Amino acid sequence: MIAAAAMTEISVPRSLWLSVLGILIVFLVLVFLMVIIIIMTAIIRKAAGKTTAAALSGANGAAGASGDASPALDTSGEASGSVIPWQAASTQDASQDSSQVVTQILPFAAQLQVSATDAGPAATAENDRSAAEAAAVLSDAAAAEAEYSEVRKFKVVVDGVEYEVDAAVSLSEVLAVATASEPDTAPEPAAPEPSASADRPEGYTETRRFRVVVDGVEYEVDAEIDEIDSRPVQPMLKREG
Amino acid sequence: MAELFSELKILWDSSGFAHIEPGQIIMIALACLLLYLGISRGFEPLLLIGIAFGMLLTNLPGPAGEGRIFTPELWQNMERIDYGLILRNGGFFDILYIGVKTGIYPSLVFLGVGAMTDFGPMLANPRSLLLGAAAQLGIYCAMILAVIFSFKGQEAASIAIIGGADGPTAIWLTGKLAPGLLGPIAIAAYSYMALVPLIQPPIMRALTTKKEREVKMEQLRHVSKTEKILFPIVVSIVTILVLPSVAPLIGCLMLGNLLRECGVVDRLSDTAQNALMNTIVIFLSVSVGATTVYSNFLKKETLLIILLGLLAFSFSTVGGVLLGKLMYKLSGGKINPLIGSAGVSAVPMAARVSQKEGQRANPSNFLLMHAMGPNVAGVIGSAVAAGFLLAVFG
Repeated sequence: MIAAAAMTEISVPRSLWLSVLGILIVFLVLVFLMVIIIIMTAIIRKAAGKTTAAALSGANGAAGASGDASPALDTSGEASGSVIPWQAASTQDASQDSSQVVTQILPFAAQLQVSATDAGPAATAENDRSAAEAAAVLSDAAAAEAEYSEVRKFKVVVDGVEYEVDAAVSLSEVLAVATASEPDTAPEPAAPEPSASADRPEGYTETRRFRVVVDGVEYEVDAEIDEIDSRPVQPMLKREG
Repeated sequence: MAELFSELKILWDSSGFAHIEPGQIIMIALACLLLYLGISRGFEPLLLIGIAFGMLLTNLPGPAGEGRIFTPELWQNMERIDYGLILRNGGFFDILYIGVKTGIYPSLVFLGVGAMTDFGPMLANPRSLLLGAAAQLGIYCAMILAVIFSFKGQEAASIAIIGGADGPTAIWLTGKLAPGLLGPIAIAAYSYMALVPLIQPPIMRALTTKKEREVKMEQLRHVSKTEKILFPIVVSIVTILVLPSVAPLIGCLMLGNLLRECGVVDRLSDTAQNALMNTIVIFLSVSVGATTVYSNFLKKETLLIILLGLLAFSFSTVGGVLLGKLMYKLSGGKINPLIGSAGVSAVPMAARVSQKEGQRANPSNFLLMHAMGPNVAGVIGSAVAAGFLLAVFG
């Protein structure tokens, strides 16, 4: 028999108040943690907001000046500078990629929702679930668009000296910066190359796999894409995990 | 001929058959039952199989004093354990048991648990910490009941911690306060964790209305990496300052989580989650199983412990659901009280039960991520409760 160290006799009343004290301590520690987490989150989000605001003000300055001769960054008494879109091309590519993801998910989700609603009174539990999943996908997509943030490098010229500035920007800001900071003298954008879909015969379809996250659960979605646009038709949900 | 019989008798005497006692037969049968439950029914197999096999090996008889795999006598004087004597004369499980007695294994398991746990859902909804606290109610209810049943203070505290539904915490506290009860308590804790899908739903349904169970909760916000990195540091500082006795558990849990979230030590995180965790689980489970020597296990106290463990678990579920109901009222019906039951640690089983019950009431309900918040908060809550009990009775 494995014995313990000196055992303590304990009366029922003492166990009662120890229990009350114990649960109070647990609540006290966890409430304290909760408050700290709330404060910590607020500080972090505020700091992130300031960074974005700084990026926005830089971008707005650039937009107002149509590319040059606007005091976007005032670092000295006579500073005058401009934000040069030296990464404009890559920025635009990246933002297009991001927006494509969102725009591809949205119609798909909407379609899911419509098909689930159309089922009417005969809707089964699966249909209800599909509607909920579609709503969640919509909400996810909107949230993803709203929360999208990335750090971009900007080149800033102040009195002939070039600086590199890192700034966090949202999706809309990325698009705004990429568009607004195009210099007036920039060459006309090349005519869009005919998309691959133009070469495809009418009625062409292909199946692509999309990944969507609903309530933290990742789904793989196979969707048929036609030759006109990337709007998916006949979505099929496959649950994983 | 006489010599042959003499040799056979020597062989017989040296075998286990000559020494087997009815209690050992019962324990061997119990070990086989637990192995069956772990393998065929999937009852917490990662730990139950090791515990059951340890139980089997330690109850297989042999001649006294020779080649014993576990020697309970070596651990009798808990006030002055002679680790040198144990290393010289102890069996294989005695050596492994040092890790349980010193609290190393449970802490290292917590390191792995931390590395595997995403605290994001809890950070996204900090109110879930309250549910994690409320679901520790069973610990204290069980402690009062255990005292009523004449258990000593340390024993009552060790039995009560079953209500935290956290195996490593239960083993850690019991190893320090009442190691004689380690076997029954570990088995009760892991059995009830495996039985969460059977124990919790009737309580959840009894305490909530259909309208409450149908509540759909809003999507959780995205949690930034900075928050996730700061969280383990902040929790360690706050919790250990309040309850220094809980440092091994919370410290390891949060270190593991920091390894995961900081993103610069993926190799260490991977080791903590897999190789280290698996190794420690093997050591922990077999050495805990080894403590279930029949003379120590087959007592009426064991049945009482199992009964009190069930009550502790049930009261914890009640506590979580009742606070969930209160939050439902205060939030104007935005919080589904079912997520309260997930506050009883048992990650992620309890959260899955909340999800399942929510979906049963409303097929379009997705509570899993909302329930993960109280679920991981429960891990912290039960560790804090264990730290409190150790501070009082240690």
